[in-house]
Amino acid sequence: MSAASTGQNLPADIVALIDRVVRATRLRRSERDDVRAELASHFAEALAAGTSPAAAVAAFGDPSASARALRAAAIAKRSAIDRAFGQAFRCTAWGVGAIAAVYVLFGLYLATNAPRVSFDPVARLAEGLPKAARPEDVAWPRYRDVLPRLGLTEHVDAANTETDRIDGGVGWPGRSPSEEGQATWDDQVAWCTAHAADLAALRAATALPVLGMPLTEALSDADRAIFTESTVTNSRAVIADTARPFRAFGVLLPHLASIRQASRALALDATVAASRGQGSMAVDDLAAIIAMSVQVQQPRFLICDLVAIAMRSVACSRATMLLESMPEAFTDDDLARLQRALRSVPRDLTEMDLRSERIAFDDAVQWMYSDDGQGGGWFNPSAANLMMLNGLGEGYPGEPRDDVMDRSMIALTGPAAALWVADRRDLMDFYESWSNELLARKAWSLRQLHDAPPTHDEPLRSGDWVAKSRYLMAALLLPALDRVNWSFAADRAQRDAVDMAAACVRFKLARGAWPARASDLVPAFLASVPSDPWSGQPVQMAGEGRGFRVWSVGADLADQQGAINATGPALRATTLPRSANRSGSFEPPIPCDWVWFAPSGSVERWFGE
Amino acid sequence: MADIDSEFLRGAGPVAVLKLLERGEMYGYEIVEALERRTDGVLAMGQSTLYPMLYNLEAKGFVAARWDESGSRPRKYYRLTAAGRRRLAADAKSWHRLALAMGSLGLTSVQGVLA
Repeated sequence: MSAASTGQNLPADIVALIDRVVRATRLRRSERDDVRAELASHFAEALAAGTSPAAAVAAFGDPSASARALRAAAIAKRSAIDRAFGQAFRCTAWGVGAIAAVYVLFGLYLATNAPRVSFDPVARLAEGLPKAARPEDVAWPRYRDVLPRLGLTEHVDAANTETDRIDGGVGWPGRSPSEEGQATWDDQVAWCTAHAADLAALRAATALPVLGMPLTEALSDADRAIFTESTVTNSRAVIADTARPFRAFGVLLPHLASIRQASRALALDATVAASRGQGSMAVDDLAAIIAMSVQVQQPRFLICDLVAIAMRSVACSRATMLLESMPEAFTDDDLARLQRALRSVPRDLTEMDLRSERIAFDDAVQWMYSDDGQGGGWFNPSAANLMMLNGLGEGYPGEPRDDVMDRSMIALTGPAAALWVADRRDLMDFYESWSNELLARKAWSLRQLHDAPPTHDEPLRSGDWVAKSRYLMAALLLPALDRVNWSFAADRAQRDAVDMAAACVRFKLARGAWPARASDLVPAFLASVPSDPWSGQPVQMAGEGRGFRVWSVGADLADQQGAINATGPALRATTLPRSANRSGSFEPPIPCDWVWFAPSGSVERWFGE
Repeated sequence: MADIDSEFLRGAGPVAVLKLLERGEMYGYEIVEALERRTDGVLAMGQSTLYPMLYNLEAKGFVAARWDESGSRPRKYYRLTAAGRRRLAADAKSWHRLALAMGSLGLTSVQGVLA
C-alpha cells in the first residue's frame, strides 16, 4: 500500500483522524485498508483544493458516528454467507461467553461451599470397638510380648528369617523339602519344641475377649517391638492429625500379617502335637487359631474379615488333615472340644458387615462433597483430597499434596467435575442400594451366590467408563466386595465340613465303624446334618474303612461320589469355582467333588496344588 | 441558511448522490463539493455521512466503485449501475409527486424543479 493510499503523507492531525475512524470501525484488515485509502484520498483532494488541514478535519463531522456508519455499511457490503457466518460467530462467542461466565460463577459458588468435616471417623471407629472390662482382658500387650519371640514382626532380623524358613518348610512328618533352604520336618519339630512356652503364651493370648490393638490411638513405644519405625510414625500421624483427610482409610492394620503368620505357626504346632499323639494339645492349637480369628475381626473392616476367614481356613484344613491321617491322636473329648471351637465363632462374625466400611465411605464423602444440609451437595474436592482419592485407587490413601499447579487444575476443572460426577445424594443412594444388595446375600450359600444376578455395582466392575467416572468415589472405594460373601459362605461351609469330620471320627471311636448315614451322627455327635452348600441337599457320605467319604457335589454340581482326583486339586480348589473375574462371570468349575473327609491314610491331596 | 434536519437529508441524500452520478462517474470529494455547490449548501453533508452512504449504495448494487491510481492522487470513482438508474428513476418520480403535493398545499413555490 502506497503512502498516498494510506495517508501517511498527510498532516499529522488528519492522519490521527483517519487512524481514529479506521480503528473504531473494527472491520477486517482489507476493509479497514479500503476505508483508510478512501479517507486519505478525500483529504488529499481537500488539501489540493486549498482547504486548510484544520478546516478539513472540522468539515469531516463526528468520527465515532462515521466509524459506526462505515462499519454498518461495510458489513452490508459483505456477502449473505459471509454475514451469516459472522452472525453465527457472534452468537457462538456470546454463547461461549455466557457459558464461561456461568462456569466461573459456579466455580466461585463451589469455592465458597467447600466440604465441611462434621465427624471424626477414628472416634466413630473407636465407638464400635469392644471395651475390656479389665486391663488383663486385653490381648494385644501379650501378643506384643510373644510375637517377637516367635520372630513374627515387621522387623527383618534373624528370628524372622528363621520363622520364614520354618513356615516354608514341609509341614508334615515324612515329607521332604522341595526347595533348598526349606526347613525339614525335624527342623519344624525342633522349632516348636524350642518355642513351646511362647506358643503356650500365644494360645493364652487368644483366649482373651478383647484384641485391643491400638487402632484408634497411636502405636506406643512398646509397639516398636513388633512394628518398624515407619509404621509407628505413620500411625501417630494418622491419629494425631485430625485435619488429615481419609483417616479411616489411613487407620493402619499392621498387626494382621503377624497374626496371620502366627496362625500358621499354631497349625504347625498342632501337627507336631498330633504326630506325638497329643491330640489335646493339637486341639488347643486349632481352637486358638479360631479364637484368634475372632479377635482379628475387631474392628470389622472387610480386610480383617478376610484375614480371619483365611486363618479359620488354615485351622479347618489342618484339622481335616489330622483327622484323616492321625485320628488315633484324638480322644472323644478332644474332638468334642474341636467341634465346640468350630461352633464358637459368633454368627455375626460369619457374615458380611459393612459398618466400618460405611464409616470410611462417609469420611471420604465428607472430604469430597459439599453439603447442602439436605443430604445433597456437589463433588467438590480440594487438590490435596483429590491426591488422596487418587491414592485410594492403589488401595491406600496417598500423602496429602497441595501446590499451585494442583490448585489451579482443581479451580479450572472443578465445576465440570461437579456437574459430571454423581452428586452427594445420588452417590449415597448408590452406596445404599449396593450395600443393601450385598447384605441381603450375607447368609446365602455358595450355590445361591453362584446363581445370583449381578449386584448394583455391576457397571463399575464391567469397565463401564461412564458409570465409573460418574460414580468415581464408588469405583475407587468399593472394590468387588460381593466376593466377600463368597468367602464368608465358604468359611461357614468349611467349618461345617470339619464339624462333620470330627463327628464321624467320634462315631468311629464309639462304634468301631464309620457311620452309614449322616443322620446316624445326630444328635450324639452332631447337632444337625449340614446342607451341601452346592446342592442344597443334606451332605452325603458312603464307604468303609479307608474308602469312607463325606462330600459335597462341588462347584460343577455333578456327583462323583466323593472320588478324589489324585492329580488334582484339594479342598480349597473345589470350595469355589476356579475363578470369577471382576464382571462376575465364571470359568468352568473343575469337575470334581469337594471332599469333606477322606480317611485314606494319605495327605497328598492337601499338597496337590 | 439554516441547517436542514438530518432526517430530511437521510431521505434526500442517496437520491441526490444517484442524481449526481447520472452524468458520469465521480470520486468522493468531487461529490461532496458538487452537492454543496449545486444545492447552495442545502444538501451539503459532512464526509462522515457521505462515505457510509456511498458504501450503502454500493452494498445495494446501485453504484459501483473503482480505484484509479493513474493520477497524482489515487481516487475512488463511483458510477451508477443499471439498478441505480432504475432506483433513481423511481425515486425521482416520488420526489416529483411529493413536491407537487407540497406545492398544492402552498409549502413550495417551485414546480418542476425535479423534472
